[in-house]
Amino acid sequence: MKKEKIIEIIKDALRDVVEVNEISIPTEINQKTPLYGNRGYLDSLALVSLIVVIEEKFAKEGENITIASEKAFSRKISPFLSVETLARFIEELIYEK
Amino acid sequence: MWLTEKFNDFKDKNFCIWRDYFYSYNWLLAEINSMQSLIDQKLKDKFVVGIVSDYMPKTVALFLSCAKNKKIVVPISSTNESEIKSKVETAGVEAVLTFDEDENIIIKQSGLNSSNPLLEEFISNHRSGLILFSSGSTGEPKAMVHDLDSLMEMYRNKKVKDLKILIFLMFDHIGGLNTLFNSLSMGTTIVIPEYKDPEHIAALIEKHGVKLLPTSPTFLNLLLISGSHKKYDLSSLRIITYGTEPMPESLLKRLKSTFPKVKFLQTFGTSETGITTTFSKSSESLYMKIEDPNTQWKVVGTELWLKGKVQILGYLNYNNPFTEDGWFPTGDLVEVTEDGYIKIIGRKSEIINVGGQKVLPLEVESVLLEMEEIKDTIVYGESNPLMGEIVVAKVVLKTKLSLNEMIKKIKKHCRHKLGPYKVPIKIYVVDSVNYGKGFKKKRLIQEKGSL
Repeated sequence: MKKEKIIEIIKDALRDVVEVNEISIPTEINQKTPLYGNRGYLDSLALVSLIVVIEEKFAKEGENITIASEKAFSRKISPFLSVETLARFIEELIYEK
Repeated sequence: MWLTEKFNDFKDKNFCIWRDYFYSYNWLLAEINSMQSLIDQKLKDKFVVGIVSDYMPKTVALFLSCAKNKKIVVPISSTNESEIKSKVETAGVEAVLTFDEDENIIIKQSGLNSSNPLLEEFISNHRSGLILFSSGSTGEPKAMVHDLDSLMEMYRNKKVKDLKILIFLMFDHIGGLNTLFNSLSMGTTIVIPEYKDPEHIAALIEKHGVKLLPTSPTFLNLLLISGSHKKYDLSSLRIITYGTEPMPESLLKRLKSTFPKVKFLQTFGTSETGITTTFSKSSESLYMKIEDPNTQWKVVGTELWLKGKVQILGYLNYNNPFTEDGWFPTGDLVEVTEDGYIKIIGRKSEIINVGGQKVLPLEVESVLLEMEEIKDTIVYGESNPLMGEIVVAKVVLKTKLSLNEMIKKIKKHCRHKLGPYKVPIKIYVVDSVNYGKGFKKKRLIQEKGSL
């Protein structure tokens, strides 16, 4: 799967989560949009929701991935910082399979 | 036995209606007497007897015959061979009684010997016993030992009434036995359904003019969904009692507006302590008062504890559940008002722990059921590496709208009605949700600490 596609899926999922949880993000969602920690827009519950929605959307594309795992948590740089870091992490997950 | 002596007064009154046939109290008495020689001959030195059967008039007669003869009765309504085998073994059933197609009694020796000290006491004290199994969602079912003589004694002083009661729960369930003993002691008529399909039940209510329907919230919801209450004339119904699981507030509202003239009463009890006499504050209310001379109650933390005169002597296959001074922690979580009313809010074992915050499935289910689009739902916890557990809902939808939009709509609805950690994070759209035999929702319970 191409990275552009991965980013699209994440952005799409983020739009859903933002809509449902009524989170206001002042600018348009892009690769740099911070997610969790370091001025991210999401709290831990919204992050869990985002992860679940992303996993569901990937499953629809035929990619079964598990994002939240020890592997993700033990990274020096958290994959959940921004759309960009998360996309990179998911790209790795898919590549490793 | 005092109960069968009462039957002499009821004579031609019908004790039961089954498959459109009427069976009188005289018939029941004659049937019990005719079983006596069989029991004398074949079951003389057998004490623990299993009755594996559907609910039918002869089952009632056999049950009472065994009780009269001071047996330890193990009623089993399952049709699953391995389940029957496991119950027979756990209870140490010595003889298994069943009926053939012509309703003749068949006796099979199991080859087992009852050796449990708990049961030997019954035999030496010449008392009848009862072994019921819990429908536990995890682990082996618990085998609960009741003193049947004392249990039945609770029903001795009932006023005689003319009433038709639909028997909903089976005879291997404390709720089903409660309905049976009540009915037999009052000289009323039980209507036994062949299966628990809402349409069949509604048809029976119309046909026989059933006045009292003891059932569960899950069944009542299915009845409304099926529309059978519109197809059949249910105006004979005076009282609907609900129990075995908590009632969602939104469902009670729908029920009351559908059946404005019917009284809705909550029944409450546990297999361990029997059915407790309770009064609902009103038909619209989930608050009830425990007013039972035989049962004491208190709330510890938010859990309801009971202490009854007739509680079980113990489990055959688990440790004694009672505290040293005889209290039984029910596992039911309650809210108590200042004036002593209690409301059940969920089961301790079903609490979902979302990052340390506690969620009760019932509350979420009730909010989900407020939505027109949702027919039925079941809420439970799923383990999650970030939060410990997350709230998950299975929903049965009325419409098949765009799924993604629907799920967002459901989440938004919950978001407006519930604290953020209570909103289901995963929503599965399914065709139906799981019910147990007693029409009680089967929530998946996470093994704690199995992350």
